[in-house]
Order: sequence, then structure tokens, then C-alpha cells
Amino acid sequence: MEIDPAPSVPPEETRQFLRATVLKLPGMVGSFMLRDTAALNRMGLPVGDFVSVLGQRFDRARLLAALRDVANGKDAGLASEDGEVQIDRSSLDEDGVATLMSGDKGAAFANIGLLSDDAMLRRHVLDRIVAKGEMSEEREGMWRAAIEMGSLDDDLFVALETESGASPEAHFREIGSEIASLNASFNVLVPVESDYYAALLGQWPIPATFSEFRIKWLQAAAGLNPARLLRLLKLSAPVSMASGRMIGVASDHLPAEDRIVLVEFLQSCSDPFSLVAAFEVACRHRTDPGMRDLADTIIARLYDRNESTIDSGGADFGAMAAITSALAARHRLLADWPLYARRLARLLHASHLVRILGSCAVERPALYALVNRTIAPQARLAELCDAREAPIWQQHYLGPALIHGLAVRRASEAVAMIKKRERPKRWVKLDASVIEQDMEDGWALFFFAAGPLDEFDEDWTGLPLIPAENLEPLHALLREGKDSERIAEEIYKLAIAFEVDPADRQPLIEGLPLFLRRFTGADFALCAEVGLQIAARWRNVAMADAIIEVVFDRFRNGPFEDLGTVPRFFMAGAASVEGKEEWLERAGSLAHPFAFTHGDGPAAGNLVRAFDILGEFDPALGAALARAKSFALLAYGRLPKVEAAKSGAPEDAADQNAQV
Amino acid sequence: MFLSMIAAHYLLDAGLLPELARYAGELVVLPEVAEMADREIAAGEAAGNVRRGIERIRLSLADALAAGRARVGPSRQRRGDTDDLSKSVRGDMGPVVSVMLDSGGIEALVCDDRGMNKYGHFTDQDGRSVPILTSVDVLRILHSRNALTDSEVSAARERLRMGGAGLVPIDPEEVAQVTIASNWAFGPNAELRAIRDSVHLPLARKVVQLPKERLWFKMAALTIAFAIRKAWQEIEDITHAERAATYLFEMIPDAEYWSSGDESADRALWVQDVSRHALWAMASVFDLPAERAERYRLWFDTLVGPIAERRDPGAMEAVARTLFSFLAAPIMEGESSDGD
Repeated sequence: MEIDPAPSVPPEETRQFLRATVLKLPGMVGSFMLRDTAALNRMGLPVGDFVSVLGQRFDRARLLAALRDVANGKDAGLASEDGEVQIDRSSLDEDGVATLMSGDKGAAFANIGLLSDDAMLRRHVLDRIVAKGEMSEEREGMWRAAIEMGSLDDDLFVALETESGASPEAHFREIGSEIASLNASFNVLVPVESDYYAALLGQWPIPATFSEFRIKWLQAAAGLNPARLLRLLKLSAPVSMASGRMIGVASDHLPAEDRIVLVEFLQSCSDPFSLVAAFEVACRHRTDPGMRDLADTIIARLYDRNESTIDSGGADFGAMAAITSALAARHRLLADWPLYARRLARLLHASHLVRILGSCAVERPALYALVNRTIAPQARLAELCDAREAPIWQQHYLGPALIHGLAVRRASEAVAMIKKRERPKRWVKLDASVIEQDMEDGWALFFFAAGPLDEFDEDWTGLPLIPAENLEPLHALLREGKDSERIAEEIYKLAIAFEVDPADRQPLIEGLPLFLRRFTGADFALCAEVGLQIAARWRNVAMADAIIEVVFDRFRNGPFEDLGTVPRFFMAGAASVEGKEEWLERAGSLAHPFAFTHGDGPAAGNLVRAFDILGEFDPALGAALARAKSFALLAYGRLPKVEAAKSGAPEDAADQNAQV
Repeated sequence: MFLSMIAAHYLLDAGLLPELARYAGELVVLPEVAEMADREIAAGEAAGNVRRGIERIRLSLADALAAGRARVGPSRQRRGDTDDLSKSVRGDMGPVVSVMLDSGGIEALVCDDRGMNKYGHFTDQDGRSVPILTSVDVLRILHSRNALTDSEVSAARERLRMGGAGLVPIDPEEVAQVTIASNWAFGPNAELRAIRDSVHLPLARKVVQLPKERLWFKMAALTIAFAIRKAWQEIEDITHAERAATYLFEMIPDAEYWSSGDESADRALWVQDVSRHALWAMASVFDLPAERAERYRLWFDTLVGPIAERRDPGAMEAVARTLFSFLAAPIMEGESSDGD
């Protein structure tokens, strides 16, 4: 990037031209130029390592020297690069936090005590850092050795700050602050560093299977000191979405008083699975002083489907899971991790977003509407890509009803671990009455639905099997083909929460595609999607093909209500095979006729964008769909009305930057 | 009474159908019969058009032969040629094979068959090398010899595309012009749609063979990317400019996807070359007024940049490097400063 000064152009003129031009370039391009020393020299801009303090640029080395002075009881003689801001006062508190003041404005700097010549102060500051539990034992040993040798030099201090800034907690603080300052876009909500997700899981390298993960996680937890274990349990608490009571078991290694701290913290979180984790711990350690009362309170909240953590928290969780899934898929984050770990990491992150959201004033209806309009369809496509490997979990149902079902199930499991005669009667009664009430109110379906990690759990025995005698009425309904509403309801239940023995499936495999022709409008789309989901679960290509044929026939001859569902159909149809190569070929061949037959108009543009997004998820899928995308493009010539489209950028891309 | 098609024809030919209709009171023509008749009429008209076209060509050719402007080349093997290739092809030798065996003094062979023209030239049995041109090359030559004006060339190219000619080279200026001429309240005009078709139809039909057709592919991608610059620079309404840019961006064929079956060792480098050049073209618009520049920056940083950076993490830095070198280079007299 070194450019010799051009002899024929006056240097100042060139500099002015470059400075003015760089500002007009896209930010993603200009920012590289403004970070490059050679380019900065060429533009005549000051070169150096600057930091922004009090809205002004300060030279980093001078700032650190000034803070070192403050750490050693001296005044900080410091001015901003342009000399406009002078630091006129400074102070250091007992925890090693330095404050620089300019007039009535001030900026605080944590951990500055580490720059002090006072060894006691350095130890105290490091103790405070370690107490958070964010630093590993190994790193703590290294930093303790470093501060015993004297005050940290600039490089070491920056390294420690960088290390602290990479913790999940630092990410949460940053996201929270972006939301609070109204600067959060969807992109800001989802970190793109795989280290962050590994830290959420508390495991590296990532074990190959979920069962292995559970064992290693529990082993690692058992080896941690109380501070680090407490931190891990706070961080990983939403893992209670899986069965196995990992948080409860791991809490055995905490001192009783720390368990109380943990439970109180978890029950104060706004994400539902932290509340489940709180109950796991409280139930398991109900004999700890004060714990029984906490458990009583928590179980009542868990079983109450109107409780805000279940109801609002459940809705938040569905939205945050959609954002996380879609963006993680588009960034191909964790693409080389096993699917269970990818799914768990995404949902843990979504849980933390719910926690953060719980303390921010975000207008929920507007947020949900934005998510549903823009990013949820992308999350659905990402989910359908995963359905090839694991076709049972259906994330798009995540919401209060499913959360309530899972919470009640996990709580029941925790209570079931108590010897029958020792089980608190109130809890048993509560369990029975809530289930009965939910059955009456039509909320019970999700009690039987699979959890996000069930299909990876070696101990999971599958969805509840419908006995053959109970299937006969459904078969009869299909044969008669009259009661559409009832049939749709039964198929829907089957797709979400029940299973059919392979020997009893044939009437459904044959009957469902035939019956599908009777539906119209949204019912048709819903039943077709549900049917394809069942076909994928049963790995039945013939059934998927028969449904796709009906869908395509309707698509070609109409009426076809929502053209936006087309990508979901061919991706759901492709998920009936498990092998990657077969899947790619199938996705391409199923997409092709839809794209080939598609009419002009904005829906064709949406189809083109869906192909682009699927290609972002997986370049091999992009290649498999390239031909179909070309066919869709050939049909696309009529854009949406200008009034409707505020921006020419496709919604999917634009709304990644939508304000939360 | 139901009249079969043949019976209806006989009665009609015998002039009895009106009599019959008068007697029966009503003649009902079923919709399927009417549809079939319409199809037959349309097919007859199409065949008539083809016949007239062939007749026109025959007449033109006969006139040209008579006037000495065209001549018949050697259509069979010369006496004494006995090599194996000649023997094997003699039985069903078409004109193209004939000319390839004996070029008969021609300066160029114009052939729109991709199987032939992808080689660029051929060598006949006498060792004479003859360039192979396409219809588009003929247009280019006529234009360079002032036999066709700019607008006539554009119109001719458009007709070729509309006629289904694939892999027709795209002229950057032409794409820019039709982009600017489109009404982006609605979408691309017919000319731009024809250009789009000429890029994506061969792709969708799997006619494009990579790595053989890399040059065409790269030119198609870069030409569209450069048209995006022009859209931002020259379409008056900013919203329309943005819609045009987005439409064109979606139109850029993806080198990585389309070359997935190419097993050449340099495939990854070629993909990077195409995508970074296209990115450079889209990233280097710097001569816009403030409000437009803001909208362009937002468009790029929202739609183009993140996708490019995710797929090729070094792309943005490489583009910044190249662009800065370009911007910082001295401007020579008479040189454009917008990077075209």
C-alpha cells in the first residue's frame, strides 16, 4: 500500500483528494484504509495507536503512561491528540479503578491498579478479576506470576484487558450497552467468534456426541473451584433445556451458600431455562437452609403458564433463537461442530439474549413483528437444512406453549428423582392439577414434544408411540376423506409430539398426499409442510415425493396462496434423505421445477434471495441450487412497487441491520 | 349428431355443412375443437414464416452468387486425399466439416455452434489456420468498419439475444445504457431482460462449460458489476438507482457455485479473481454527491460487503489496497478518474 508521492501532483492536493474520497467510499472499504499506516501517511493523517476517550482521540501510549502515573499517586498530565481536551483531575479508588476528569466529564478505567508499583494493590485488583470466575486456573497462575514481577507493562496490561474483553460476559455487556443506546441491530446481537460459543458450552475441543459432552462437562465442572463453578453454572444454566439435570448435579460441588447465590441469581433471570435450572438446583438441594422456600416459589412459577418468565420469556426466546439461528447459519458459524453442539450453543446464546432483553426497554410487539417479517423465514430455512441430520426438533414452534411444556417436563423429572415418599405433596399436587388444567385448555400437546437436544440423547426413547388401535380412527378418517379439520388436527399433533410404529405407517404414507388435495389456502401449506416434516422424520422419500407432487401441481395450476413458502417446500422435501450428496442433489432437483415454472413479480425476487441465503448457509448447497436460481432470475423482471419498498436492498440483508 | 373432425372436413369441402346446420338448427363447436383448430392455424402460420424465411435466404444467396458476392466452397474431398479422417467423415460430410477439411481460401468461418467456436480457430488439411468467428464478432467487425452504427449494433445484439443466441458477449457500455434507460419504478426494460437471459439461460441450460468458458463468465460478471457503478452514478432518482443496483447485484453469476464441478488446480484462484474484481467494481464509486453517497455506502455496507467478507475474508482488504493504489496514483492528462 506504499505509494510514492506523485511528482506531477502537489502533495497537499493529493492528500485532500484522498481524504475526501475515502470518506465517500463504503465504510467496509474505507475503514481498511484508515487503519493502514502507509495509507494514513499518504493522506497526511496522524499515524498512531489512538483510543477514544470523552469523545476525543488520545494516543494510547500517552494514555497508558498517564494512567500509570495515576496508579502511582501522581497527576495525569494528558491532552487529546488535537489538544482540545485537557485532563485536569484524576483519582484512583481502593479497587484500582482510575478516573480521569476534564471539567465535569469523566471516564473510568478498571484494573489500573495493575500498573501500580504497589504489589498489594496489584494482588487485590487481580483477586477481584479472578473472583468473577471468568479467568481460567491456568491463566490466573500466569497473571499472578506476572504481577509478582512488578507492575504490568503496557503490552501485558493491554493483553489482560483484551483477554477479559473476550469473555462471554464482556460480550453480554457490549450487547446490553448497544441495546440501551438504541444502536443494536440483529448483527450486533450475534457474536461471530467461535471461541465465544465454546466458552458458553464450557468445553474445548467439542466432544463428538451429546452424551460425551454431558460426561465431560460434568467432569470439568467437578474440577473447578467454587468461584469458577459458580460462574460456569450461571453461564451454562440454560443447558437445563436438555434432560439429565446437569446444572443440578454440577451444583453438588458448590458450597451451600454459593448454591443459594446461584439459585437466587438464576430465578432472577428472565430466560425460562435459567428458571428451570434454578429449580433443578433447589429441588436437588432442598434440604439446604432456605432452599426449600426457594424451590416452592420457583416450582409455582414454572408451572404457571402465565408467569412472565414462561410467557414473555418464551416469546422472547423464540424470537432470539430465530435471530441467532439465522445469523449463525449465514455466517457459517460453528459449521464444523457436531449439530448437537451447534444447536446447544445457539440456544444458550439465545437464552442470554433473553436475559439481556429482560433488563432493556425494547418494544416487544414491534420486535416480534420485525423478526417474523424478516429473519424468522431465514431461521426456518436454516432449520430445514439441519433437518437432514436431525429431523425431529422443530425450532419454529419455540414460544410460550412449547417452553411451558418443556419447563413442566423438566420440573417433573427433577421431582421424580426424589424418593416417592419424600416428594413434597404440594409439588405432586401442583404437577397433577396443572397437567389436568392444560389438558382441558388444549395446552397439553407440547408436554409430549421433543426438546431441542432429545434426538441427540442416547437415553431418549423417541416421541410417544400412538398405539395401533388409536391409529385406526385416523386411518378411517383418511379413507373417508370428509372431516378435513379433524384430519389436519391429527396430522399436526403427529408432527409435533407423537410417533407411529413403522409397521402402521403405510395408510398414512399413502393417504396423506391424496388427502392433501382437499385443502386450500393456508391449511394446504400447513398440512403439506407438516406432511413433509413427517416424511423427513420417517426418511420416506416416496412420501415426500408424493406430497411435493401435490404441492407442485397446486403451485403450477393454482390457487397457491403464499409463494413465499416455496423454498420451505423444496428444502423440507429434500430433508427426507440423510446423506449430504443425496441431499444436495435432491434439493437441486426439487427446487428446479418450482423455479422453472415461477411467474414474474416480487415473489420471484424473494425466491432468488432465498437461493442466495441458502448458498450462504452452505456453498455446496448454493452450487446445487445455482441452476434453479438462474431459472428464477429469468422469471424476475417486475420489482415491488416503489412505495412498498423503502429500500432496494433485499429485506433479509437490510434487516440484519434493523434497529432492535 | 356428433361430427368427427374428418366428417366435418368432408362435409365442409362438399359444401354441405351450411345445409346441415340449417337443417339441425344449431352447430356447436366444442372448445377443445376450437382450441385444436387455433393450434393448427398457428402452426400453419409458423411453418409459413419458416418457409418464407428459407425462401428469402435462398433468394439472397442466389442473388449473391449471381453477382459474385458469394461462392460455393469445396463440398467434398479433393481427389488424392486419402487419410483416415477424410475416409471416416466422407459419408456424412456436412458443410462445416467440409470447410474444416478444405477451407477453400476463406478468411474466417462464422459459426455459432459452441462446440466449434470455443476453439477460436481451425487448421484445414493444407495446414491453413482459419479463425472461427461468431455472429457477434461479425457485428463487431461491421461496426469497426463503420458499416453499422452504435445503435444498429445494439439493436442487432438485442435481436440475437431475443433469438436465443447464447454466450453473446456483453458490452459494458450497452449494459450501462439499458440499465439507465430502464424505468426502475417497475423493473428492467426488455433490453436488460434480454441481456439477463443471455447470461442466465445458457447457465440454466448447462451450456456453459468451465473452465473453457472462463473468459465469457468473467466478462459477464464484471460487466454487470460495472453497470452497478453506472446505475449509482447516472440514474437520477436515488431509490431507482438503488433498485437497479440490487437487481444487477442479484444478476451477477456466482463463480464459486458455477465452477463447483471444475477440477482445475487454479479454480480457487480464478473464483477469487472474478469475485474480487466484481467487488472492486462495486466498491469503488466515489464521485457521488453527499446524499447519494450516503445511500450507496449504506447499500454496499448492508448488502454487498457482509456477504463478500463472509465468503472471502480477505476480499475487502484486498479491494481497499487496490483501490487506494488506484486513487493515489497520479492522474495523467486526459485520463478518467472514476476507475472505468
